[in-house]
Amino acid sequence: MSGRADLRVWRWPVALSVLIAVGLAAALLGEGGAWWGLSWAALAVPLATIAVALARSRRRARSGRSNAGAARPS
Amino acid sequence: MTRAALRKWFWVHKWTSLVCTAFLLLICVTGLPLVFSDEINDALDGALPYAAVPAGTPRVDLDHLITASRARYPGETVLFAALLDDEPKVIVTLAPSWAAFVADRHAVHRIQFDAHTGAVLKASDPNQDAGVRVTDVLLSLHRDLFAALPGELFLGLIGLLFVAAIVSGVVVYGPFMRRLDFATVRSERSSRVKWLDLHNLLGIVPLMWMLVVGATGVVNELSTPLFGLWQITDVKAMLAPMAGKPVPQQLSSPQAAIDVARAAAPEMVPTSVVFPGSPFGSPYHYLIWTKGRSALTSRLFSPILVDARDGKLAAVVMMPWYLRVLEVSRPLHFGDYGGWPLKIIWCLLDIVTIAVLGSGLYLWFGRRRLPPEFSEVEADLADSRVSGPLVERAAE
Repeated sequence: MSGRADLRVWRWPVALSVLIAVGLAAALLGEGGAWWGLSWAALAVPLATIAVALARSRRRARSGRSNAGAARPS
Repeated sequence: MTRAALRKWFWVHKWTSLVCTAFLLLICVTGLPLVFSDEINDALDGALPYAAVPAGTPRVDLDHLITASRARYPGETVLFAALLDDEPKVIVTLAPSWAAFVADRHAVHRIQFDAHTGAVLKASDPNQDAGVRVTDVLLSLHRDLFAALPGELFLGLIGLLFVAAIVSGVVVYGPFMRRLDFATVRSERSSRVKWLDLHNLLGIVPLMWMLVVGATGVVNELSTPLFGLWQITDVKAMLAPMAGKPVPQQLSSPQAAIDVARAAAPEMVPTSVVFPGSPFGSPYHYLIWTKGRSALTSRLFSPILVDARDGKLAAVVMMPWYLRVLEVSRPLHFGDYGGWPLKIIWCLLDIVTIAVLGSGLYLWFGRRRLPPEFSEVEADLADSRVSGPLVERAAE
């Protein structure tokens, strides 16, 4: 039971960390433009994630009530 | 995880963060312009622009530039020649003598030559060069708080605390996020709850980057001891037979020395020449620093020694593993290896890190010992353990 909860909690953080690692390595180890492009794209995803989260947070503040992704009732 | 474990990890996270936050804020803020230090230095340089030449134009013979340098400052000793490969520039550094340079590193003349035409782009006096560049001030603050080696080691310690804060933060993140969807920021609730969620979001998303930049920062702070270790081990052994020998009156051709180095290591690119007489080099060898051609190997430098008495190859020096680790840590820390978009990304992630630090401070300055969600999180942990541990009262 707690295993599934763990998966849910860590799915996104792990995916983002892997993306960042790939992005950092791609430009360092790869030669040429395609690798640089891969690097920038991979590293842009965490930044985009933050931007989307901030935008959603602003919507929550304005509407003043919880969205679908809110805390689960105990 | 038990409640006791959570509290312990939370305590670790709180205290490692608190001790390092003030210094880390300084490091992050000074780090921001330092990402663009090359561009800033070039913009403030005041050197003449390069000549526009057709592609494939060969570079001027280094001997010609050395002769011109000696003619400009007669009686002075040539110390180094730097051969830039991403720009058509050669920088020759002279001083009254090696001893004078060791006594005062600013007492040098530095001449920038156009590598294609041999024209002088900029020549500076010791007096002129006394002005310190803004990037040097920022770097001093960032790296050692103007305190040289003790400052470097202290900030290295701070970097270790930063890594500990990140690791403990990851451990504490799990229980806090059990009942929240990823990236939820409950801004409709109190300011504290909003900032707690923001702190968690901004911390967990770029976690890998903060870990890499933090860890490579620690390694970089060790560069003085690591090079020192190399000096007193391999280098001392290598230079021992040469110690005390005189610097030759007639030096062999520098350009020929570079050509010999190129022939000895064709996969490498010569990047600078240290002339004979350096206290850290050899009295009678040219020490030619070379680097690899690929993105990664261009950060790995290997010195080649060429005898200045007869122009013959003397040795291709292998660098030890711990210096290779240091060299690889540099691009991963500076973010300067993937073009300007990577530098922009580096700055944005730096700003996110500043927000994590700032929000952490804000949360700490709140009245309560523990954050508002703590009691719910602890109750959660008690519920989730099937084997029924002692259930304590949730703290207020």
